[in-house]
Amino acid sequence: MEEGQIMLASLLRREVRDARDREVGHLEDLAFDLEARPPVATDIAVHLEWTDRVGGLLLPRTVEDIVLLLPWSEVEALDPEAVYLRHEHPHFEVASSEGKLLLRRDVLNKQMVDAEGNRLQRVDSVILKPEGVLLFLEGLQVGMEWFPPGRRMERIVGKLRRRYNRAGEANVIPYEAILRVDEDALVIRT
Amino acid sequence: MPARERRRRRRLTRRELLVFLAVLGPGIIVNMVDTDAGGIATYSVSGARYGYDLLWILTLTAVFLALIQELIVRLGTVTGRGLAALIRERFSLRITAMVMLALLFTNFANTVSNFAGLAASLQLFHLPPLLAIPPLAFAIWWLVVKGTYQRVEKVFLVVSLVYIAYFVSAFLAGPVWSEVGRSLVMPKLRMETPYLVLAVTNIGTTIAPWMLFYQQSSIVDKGLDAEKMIYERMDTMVGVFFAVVVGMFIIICCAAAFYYKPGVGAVSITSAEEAAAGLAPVAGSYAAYLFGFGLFAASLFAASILPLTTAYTVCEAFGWEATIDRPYREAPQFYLTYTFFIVGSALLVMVPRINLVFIMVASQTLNGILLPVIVTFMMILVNDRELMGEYTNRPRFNALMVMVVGFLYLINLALIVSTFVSSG
Repeated sequence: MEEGQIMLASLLRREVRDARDREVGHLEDLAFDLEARPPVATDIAVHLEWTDRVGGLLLPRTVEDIVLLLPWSEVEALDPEAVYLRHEHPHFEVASSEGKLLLRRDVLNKQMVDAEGNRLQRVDSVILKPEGVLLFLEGLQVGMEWFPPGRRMERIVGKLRRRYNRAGEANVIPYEAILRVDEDALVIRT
Repeated sequence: MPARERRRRRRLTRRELLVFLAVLGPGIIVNMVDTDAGGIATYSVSGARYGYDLLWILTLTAVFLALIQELIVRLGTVTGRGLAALIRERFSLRITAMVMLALLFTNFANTVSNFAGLAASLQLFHLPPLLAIPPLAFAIWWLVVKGTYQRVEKVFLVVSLVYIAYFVSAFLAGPVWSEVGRSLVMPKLRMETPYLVLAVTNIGTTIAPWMLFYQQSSIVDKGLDAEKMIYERMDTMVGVFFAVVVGMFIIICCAAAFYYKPGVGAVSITSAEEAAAGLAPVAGSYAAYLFGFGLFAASLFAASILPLTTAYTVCEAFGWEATIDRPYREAPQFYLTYTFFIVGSALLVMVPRINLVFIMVASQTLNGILLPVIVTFMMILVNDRELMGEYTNRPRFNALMVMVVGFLYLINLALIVSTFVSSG
């Protein structure tokens, strides 16, 4: 992994704090716009300890352990210890998850296939790059230090990195190679 | 009811029967192959040492097996994905890698024990293992690699019929059926370590972790969905019934031939081949040959399936291509795992003075440790509403499963303690 990059797994379960610096829950997932160049985080899924409202709607009773998708405009800062939100709990803006691509749910650990449907490998890690308060998708890592990818996969990743002008020997498939995300598999343009 | 309606219903029943026959396979095969060399050895020793006293354990095991396999049927038909894939998608790479490593080690040890069973059964027919094992190992490899999955499955279904050998052997040994019937439903608990170890081993050998992965993959391979769940449940129940009945008949056979035989008494049988050889003077040479033939077929059956299911499972977990319909260059990890298991096991049993008993015991202990862990993963998965929708566990079923898993953790703890105690 190159300097300035982080793994999605290191962000997940990170503390989420509101405008009054109160811990309100933890980070559950991130929604990304894959069409953007580079793909950028559009929403943050927060596992709230409790809430009594969803957006402007007051609920008849308080609910616990609820996951809400908040637009990225709610994110004030990304800190190594916590994610800070712009508003006070529970007065957050909320977003619909309809049609959204969630990295943990839809990408991490997912089966990758080539355009012909041949199985390649699973996504072992999702590599992100924070820039200020924004978060960009760098690519999909195959293999870990303790679990190297197969030679066939190394060759494919090397070819893709050359094609998209990525330096270094990292086993990260550049985001440009992601053709689409289907229900069962992530299609890679090999 | 009008005649036309009756005819329509009869047609429907016939159609349902045809669907059932089409679905038939995963449940029966997985349960039949579970009666492998280690299983036969365990059942033989149980009968020879304790007569019918351990039969009730198999009745209990049948219930556990049916409940656990019900989870597998639901997970497979509802998600359309294998168990390894689901574990990988729900848990981390690190956890998946640890589970796969444990499964690889356990399954390899089990494969070795099946090749050892194969070698032992060949000796009963006066065939030297050093000459017979290499062509047999090659035949197993060839059958799976060069056949199609459907053809291989049909071959295995036909091979399942050889387990009838144990029924015949049991009848030839002349058991007291009224005593057998009582022992099936009346628990006879002895507070002796060897008895408890055998009780635990009987459960451990009947419900092995690899069979859960294999069955779910087979369900997915067959394209069975939630609509066909009922047929797959029936397939599984038939399989559970036959597997447990085969186990019971082996116990009955050895109990009648050794434990209750006047002038023979409880004998020191430590393996299936000793049981088969010992049957000849007390139950006749036909019983001994049938028993030996059963051991041969069971070992062959398991030695074919275990490497195959391991290769499928590992590739599924890590996302590698895994199919016997593709050439080597497209699925190298699959072929390498499969080939390594067969060649490695065959070579290992041909090495003189290797401690095969240790490998067999270690594999059973690891099986036992791994089983409740895998069932715990399955419980988490099957209760995930996002994954299972309306097919999640009902509260009563969950309560029942918690008891089963709790019992499995307890007996495995007992097994580990007993292993350490007995080894000094």
